[in-house]
Amino acid sequence: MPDTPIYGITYPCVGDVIDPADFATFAADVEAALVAVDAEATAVLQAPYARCNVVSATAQGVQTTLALTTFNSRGIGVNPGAGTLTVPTAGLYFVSLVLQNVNQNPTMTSRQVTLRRNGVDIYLHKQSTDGTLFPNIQVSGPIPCAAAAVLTATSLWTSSGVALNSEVGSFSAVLLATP
Amino acid sequence: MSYTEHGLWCGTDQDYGATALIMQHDALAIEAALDSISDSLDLYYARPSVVLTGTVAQTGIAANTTTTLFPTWAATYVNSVTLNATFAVNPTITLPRTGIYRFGGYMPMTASGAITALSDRVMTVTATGAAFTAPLLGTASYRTRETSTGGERLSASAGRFYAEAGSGVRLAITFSHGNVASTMNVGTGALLWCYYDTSGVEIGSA
Repeated sequence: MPDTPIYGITYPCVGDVIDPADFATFAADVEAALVAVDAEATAVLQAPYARCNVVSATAQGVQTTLALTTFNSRGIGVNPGAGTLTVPTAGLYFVSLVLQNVNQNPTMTSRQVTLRRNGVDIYLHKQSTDGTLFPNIQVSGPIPCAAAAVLTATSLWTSSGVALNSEVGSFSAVLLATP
Repeated sequence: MSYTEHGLWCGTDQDYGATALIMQHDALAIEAALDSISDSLDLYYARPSVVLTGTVAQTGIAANTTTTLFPTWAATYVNSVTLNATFAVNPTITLPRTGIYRFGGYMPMTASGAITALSDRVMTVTATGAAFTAPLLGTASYRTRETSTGGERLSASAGRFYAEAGSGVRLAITFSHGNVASTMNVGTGALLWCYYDTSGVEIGSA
């Protein structure tokens, strides 16, 4: 008996004598095909992701990998103390960091954030501040990753007056596509 | 005889003796239905997407001119998107699905010397038809006004456009600045990216 080309469902042809075993094979093959498609659907509905809170104090003039606090994740490994996200599979991940400016520090002169893959800057955003406006800062974009790639976010700021700044925000990653 | 919504043959008393034919028909109908579902899932599981990286630094960009960046692009990530043969200098891609795509760009930037106070930097990412002179499909721009006197400056932006399956789209970054005190440079590591977002059918549906 021939099989269908994609899922290998065995079927009889006209003239074949059918017995109960053929129905059993047919049912088992259909079941296997459903399981295969169900696995695809599960992968779509349960894409790896991590969304982490950032609450830390960073020193003026020191590019600092942001430590993470509470987080929700599925599939992506989170090391809060080290501030790392480890992706489980190769693919394209959308990565985003947003930080508020909670200090309203009038002596801050610039602010810079980066998204890194394995310690190398992929996206960097820098903005000057003038002591009167305190915008939030965000950097985001898709990053191709190999399996086990490590994503981190850093902050670097300059000031003419203060030594510490409170960093409050979110760092997240989600799988967009697999190769 | 009658059929289910997905084309399975519902045998009746009048189909007595046609068991093999029904099973043959239904095996192929099940296969087709599951393949169609799998194809839809691929839109997300294997989402069409591309990331191009600028590999050559571009220096000496004068103030108050608009420059199309990077004659040399390398494919960093490609998934179900076709790159045209000359994408390195003309980053045109052919898209496999009808729907809405997100796109954007990114560029590292430095000044070659002094920086004029409050000099503007404007980065624009465009998606046009493959012929480049074709109508604009989408645009996204980022503008910043900097006051500091040196160091790295970067811009990123993102937008969306609608395209039909098989259509060609040209992505490009243009850059201009108002730093009359010196020229500006764009380093390697610029990015152009595009990925399938949605079919768009849910937009406006009841």
